[in-house]
Amino acid sequence: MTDASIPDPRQQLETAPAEERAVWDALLTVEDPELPVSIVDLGLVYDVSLEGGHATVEMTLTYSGCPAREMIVDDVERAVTSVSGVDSVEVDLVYSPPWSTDHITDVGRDELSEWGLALPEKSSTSGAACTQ
Amino acid sequence: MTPSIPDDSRTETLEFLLAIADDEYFTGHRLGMWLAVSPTLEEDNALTSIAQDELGHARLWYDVVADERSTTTDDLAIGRGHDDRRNSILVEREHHDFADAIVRSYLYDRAELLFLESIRDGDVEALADTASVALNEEPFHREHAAKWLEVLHATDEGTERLERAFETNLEAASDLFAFEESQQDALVDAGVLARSPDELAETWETEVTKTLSELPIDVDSQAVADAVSNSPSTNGRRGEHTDEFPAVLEEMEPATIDQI
Repeated sequence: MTDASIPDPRQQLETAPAEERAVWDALLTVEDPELPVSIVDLGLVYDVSLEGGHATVEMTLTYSGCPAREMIVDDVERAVTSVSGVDSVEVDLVYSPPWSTDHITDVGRDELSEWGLALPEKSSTSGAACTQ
Repeated sequence: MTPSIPDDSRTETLEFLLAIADDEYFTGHRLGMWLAVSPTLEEDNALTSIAQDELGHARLWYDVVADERSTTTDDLAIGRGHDDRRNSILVEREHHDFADAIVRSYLYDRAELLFLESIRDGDVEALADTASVALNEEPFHREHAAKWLEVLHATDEGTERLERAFETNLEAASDLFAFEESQQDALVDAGVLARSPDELAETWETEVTKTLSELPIDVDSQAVADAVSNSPSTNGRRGEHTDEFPAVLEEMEPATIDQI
């Protein structure tokens, strides 16, 4: 699959232009309602763009039947709308590439570990973490 | 790999994805009915967790079709009528007992796995990735059904119920892979599927026959062969459904304000 096409979210955040960086920073404050970890560090945010005050957040969910789907989307919209220079926001939920625990950042892994959740080692192929 | 659905097979592809979505949707709906009435508290959790997964997978595919047709997921999931539904009749009937639920899940999960793998191994990247998401959430469904198949034959009553469930459900499974030949050709030519439903049916028959041969129950293997070779008398893939279907559609209709 196309796993490698999604760069590490922390790297994306750090190299983003200032205005987009503000959107990334806002997304860092949004946690998964079921885990006290940012959606950025869970690797759920695939891309952020900002054009003429319109922000687009391309993101996925850890689980297709996620009951917190609406809550996360609302939280993202609220957080991004509060960024100076953002007039409107669109959340684009995508499932390509499929999310796996490989997308979790090192910060996210440390935080999950603090909460007692053990993750499989990063694998070289997509989805392998879920089927081992 | 192509990024999206090829134009010349768009209609056949979207109709096929609706069939897969409808399968997932009614499977999830029927499994959800076990909440609070399954044999154990753990089973309440297991069956409704599986139901939630299947509804999530239905949503994945309805979302794809909704985007392509500029409509909404709700319109596709809730708003389509009897003749527009393309689910197999296997998944639409009420569960008779727990053995029925387990056998139904087993037969359906094997077919679902084959469909999803065929999409994942196809050439359309967006669909292949979506199938991968669903596949990652499926292994425990198969483990769940397999574990119960090992347990339920422990008593005479359990054996009888399993045998009855296989007989009834194998008959209802004959439309699982019964897509029109022209649609099958279009799906394979377009790279949406790596293997045609006819080929998947052969694999399904081999796997189900093997499982039955390993269980100490008496189910004629001819019933499995019939399920894939007989032309279905009621074919959900053509919009034909059982007399239990109108009731399930009715209970899914959203309540209007004055009903609340």
